[in-house]
Amino acid sequence: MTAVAHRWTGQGVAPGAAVAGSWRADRPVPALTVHIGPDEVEAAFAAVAADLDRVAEQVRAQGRTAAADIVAVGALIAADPDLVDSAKQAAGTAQPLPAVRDAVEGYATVLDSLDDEALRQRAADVRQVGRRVVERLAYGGVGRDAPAERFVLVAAELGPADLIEHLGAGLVGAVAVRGGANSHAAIVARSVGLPLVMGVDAEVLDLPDATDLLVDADAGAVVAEPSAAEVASTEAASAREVERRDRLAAERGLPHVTADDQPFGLYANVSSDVEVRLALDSGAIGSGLVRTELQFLEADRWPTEADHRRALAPLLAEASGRPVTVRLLDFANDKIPPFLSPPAGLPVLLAHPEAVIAQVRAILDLGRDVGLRIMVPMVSDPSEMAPVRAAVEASAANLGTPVPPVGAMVETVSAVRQIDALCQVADFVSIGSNDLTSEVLDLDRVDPRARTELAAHPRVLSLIGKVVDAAVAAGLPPLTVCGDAGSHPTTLPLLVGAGVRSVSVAVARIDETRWRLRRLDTEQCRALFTDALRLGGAGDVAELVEERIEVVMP
Amino acid sequence: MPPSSEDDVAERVVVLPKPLHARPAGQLAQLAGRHKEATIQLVAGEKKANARGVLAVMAMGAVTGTEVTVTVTGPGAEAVADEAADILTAAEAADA
Repeated sequence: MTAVAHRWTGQGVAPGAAVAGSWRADRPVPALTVHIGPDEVEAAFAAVAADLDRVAEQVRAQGRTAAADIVAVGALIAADPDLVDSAKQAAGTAQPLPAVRDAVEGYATVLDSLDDEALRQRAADVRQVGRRVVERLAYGGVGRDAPAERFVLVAAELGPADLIEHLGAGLVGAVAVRGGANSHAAIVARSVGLPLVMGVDAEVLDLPDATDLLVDADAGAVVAEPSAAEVASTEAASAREVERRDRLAAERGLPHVTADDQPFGLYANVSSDVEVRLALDSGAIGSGLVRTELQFLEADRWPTEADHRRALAPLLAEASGRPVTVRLLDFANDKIPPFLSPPAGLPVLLAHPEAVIAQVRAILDLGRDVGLRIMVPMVSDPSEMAPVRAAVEASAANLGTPVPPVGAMVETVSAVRQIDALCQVADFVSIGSNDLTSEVLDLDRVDPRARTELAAHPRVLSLIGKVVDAAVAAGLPPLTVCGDAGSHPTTLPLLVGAGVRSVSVAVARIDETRWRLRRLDTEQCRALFTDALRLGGAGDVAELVEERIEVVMP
Repeated sequence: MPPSSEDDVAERVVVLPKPLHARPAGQLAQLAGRHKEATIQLVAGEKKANARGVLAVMAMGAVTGTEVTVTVTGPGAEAVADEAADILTAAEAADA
């Protein structure tokens, strides 16, 4: 057969590459004229509930508790007597399948209309249950099971459960027409190492199932009927990646100590409840950075207390019992909503005390069950801490909650210059390595991906060392570096050398970061750091790190 | 079972410490499933729901601080009402 490759481009939202037969998750069901009775509808719901229960238990047995809970909600929905009753009534009409779908949609719409973000998200679960029930009815009560062998999932839109239920089975990659890097499906895919490309032309939906499909998320490409050479190289790379991830994940639960027995802290940067779940599953202690502004980047006004509550409630509930550092709104740089104009940042937030109080109240009230800390972003002067602390103390008194530590995120050169004074008015400090690096090296116009490695520049390193020393001298708790430098092979040994013993990294980097930290020797890193400060640029430092530090990765 | 128990009624009023999300709603549905002879009715303001249905309970959209009245009718009403109230007030860490 003549292989005519069809190529589409999209956004690679979870790295990696895979090739396998395609399987469309949401293929439209054929129009049917056959009679469907209430008993068949009831049986279909029961079968879907049993399916989801089974998947939840399988996932739970693999130790992925959080993922199991997500799927188990679907089983409860499929067993809902009200939902089943209205679907049974719908089955008696002339067009039973659309009628059943409409009945289910009615319930989804009700949830969609609620104020509570976590409840609104359940609407997608209801629709997923409805889709499965309708498929079962359409295909004669057997359901459309995913292929037993390896496959690439294709869908117009993917929910996290769509991916979770096939993990550990044959799923090796996924393609979606809609969605982006911040979708829950993308977060799940990154955390489990599943290559995922989104934003692909809808043509891909028309591929017959079992079409050879290559997903290259690193290149943002999807290829139907790829050449034998492409298949071979992708398969080899994908097999290596799976093995690598398994070996990294095998160290979950091992002691968080370096090669010379120095304890370290491993936290995750998060902005949603799903990320918290995945982070805890990966063995993170808690969150060193909760980003609160991401849900409000399209806002047309300052978020109210109710807005903050809706955004934070699911996340903080999921983090119950864990240490969590919540950062106040960081509307700066590339994260400025339409109602503000650049440079925005902390000064604009502080100029709106009611906006600070709205957020602080929501954090304090919802954060009663976590080891809460509140962090001020982009601090450039010690005087900026007092108004926030006053707002926290007043709100805590008002709500009857304890007053949590209030700390500063050190990510401006100005903050480093005044670090001793800042440490006197902050209960803790964290370092934002990305912004600090770009300010020191004037990288505003440089590709953001280059910033992580440039944190190894001696000018950046010396500032980081200064902050660590000041925090120790002031008797503050061990500081955390929140940023990509904490998970980078070049910069991590240097941070350890500077005295950093705690990092907060992207959820997908937790396993890898733990692996590296457990193999670093703090004395060796210290010597490396001292020598690196004498070098001329980031490139020289990277060479030195490569020469001195050997961490064998799986 | 004693005939009088069919008419047992018990009521509890609780203030939610956390929103009534999927996990507590699911626990209530499971409780209702274990006590099929009893009816567990929830009322929050103008919203009402039979606890047997996880969707109806979630559709109440009950947020933190909402006062919820639980009314259980049927055998073992007191014990079932206590258990329902426990689920609603122990909703501290509950979310899904």
